[in-house]
Amino acid sequence: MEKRSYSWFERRRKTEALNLAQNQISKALDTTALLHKAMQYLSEGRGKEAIQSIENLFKTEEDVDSLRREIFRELSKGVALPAESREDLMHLVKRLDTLADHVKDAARCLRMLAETQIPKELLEKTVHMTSALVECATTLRGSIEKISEDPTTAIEKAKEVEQVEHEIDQNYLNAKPLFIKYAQQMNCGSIVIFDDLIEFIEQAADMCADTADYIMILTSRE
Amino acid sequence: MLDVGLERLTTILLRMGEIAEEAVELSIEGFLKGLDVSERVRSLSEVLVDMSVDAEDKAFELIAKYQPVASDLRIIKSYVKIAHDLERYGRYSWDISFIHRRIAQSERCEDPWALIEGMTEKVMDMVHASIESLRNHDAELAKKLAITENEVDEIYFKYLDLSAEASISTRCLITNLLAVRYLERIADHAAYMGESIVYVVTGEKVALR
Repeated sequence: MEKRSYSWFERRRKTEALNLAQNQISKALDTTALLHKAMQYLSEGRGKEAIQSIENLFKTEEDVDSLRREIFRELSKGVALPAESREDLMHLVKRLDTLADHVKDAARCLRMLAETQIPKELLEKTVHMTSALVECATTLRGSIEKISEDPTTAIEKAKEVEQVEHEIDQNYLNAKPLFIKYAQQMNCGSIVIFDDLIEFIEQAADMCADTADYIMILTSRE
Repeated sequence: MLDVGLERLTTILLRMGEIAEEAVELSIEGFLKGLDVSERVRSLSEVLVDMSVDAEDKAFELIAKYQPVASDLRIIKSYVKIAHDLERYGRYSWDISFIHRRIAQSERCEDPWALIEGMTEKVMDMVHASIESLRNHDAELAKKLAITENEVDEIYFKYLDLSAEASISTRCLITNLLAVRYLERIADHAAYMGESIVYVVTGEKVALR
């Protein structure tokens, strides 16, 4: 994403920490699209492509992680930012780092499941969940971009994030009873890993909503 | 001022500990006795989510305003992690009571291998010890969590092996399988908490899993 879209950051003094944060936020949100792509490939039986997407996701997540460490290092040096802005940055960076962590954990499960037979209905449900997760992340990105320039839109988008998160949570809960339907077709290892997979997607969505909550606080201060 | 902030943060965490312990205990009781406690557990879990956000907000505020160093910074960073662990205690408790209601339809499920009850006792011991070690900053107690965590893992893997051989398909067997997974995850978070507490007290980074 282009740096100019983060006007909230631009209004603050330029520091290395801010540049790093822009990059970190952007990459963290990109991990959701990579997960969705991998999930789609898997549901289409394109295992090789799915694994390639997962590998790309792992690399992106490593970048997110090292950027987070660098940003916190910069901020702990007492960079030229007021305390409140440092705190805001920490909140955003930490939450998005956690989001990317959950997406990576989901991808790990997916990689294990790539070798097994999963009923189509479960795969489709999960594609639906990852698609909603991308929607969550995209809406969140839109909200962050509008914090300064258009706070009303930022709040509206933050609320949309909450709605999508709620939908993902419902899908997560509704997927569990399907284990009974497909118990004959799945071994217990697959059931456990699949349950992990949907849990990590739900946790990633939760973190999106958590970030959206924080944006509402930020917006009220702008 | 930093001390006052730290004290407030500690109060939030200790209260979270009490609620988390209640949530785990209630969900296990409901599961073992065949009672539907999901709504009560759900509300406890939601309280923990809100409190975890409060704890994180408070921690970041302290870091940003006072730029703490050395042991204060170590405590604050570790407390953020601990708040997350306590929140997860709540979520997995809700998961246990949710699948018990939705999949087992709140029935009392027999455990064919008689492993789950012993596992729940160990997990409850871990949850209790993790919260006590937080309350007293007791690194020795925290380190002991590693022993029980290994025992819980052993039961979990044994359960997976037995389930694989039995080719699970009934509501109760699936519920049991998922419940042991959530119990194992609670034990993981107790061990993570132990690691954070050891770090707070000694500055030493240990792996208890």
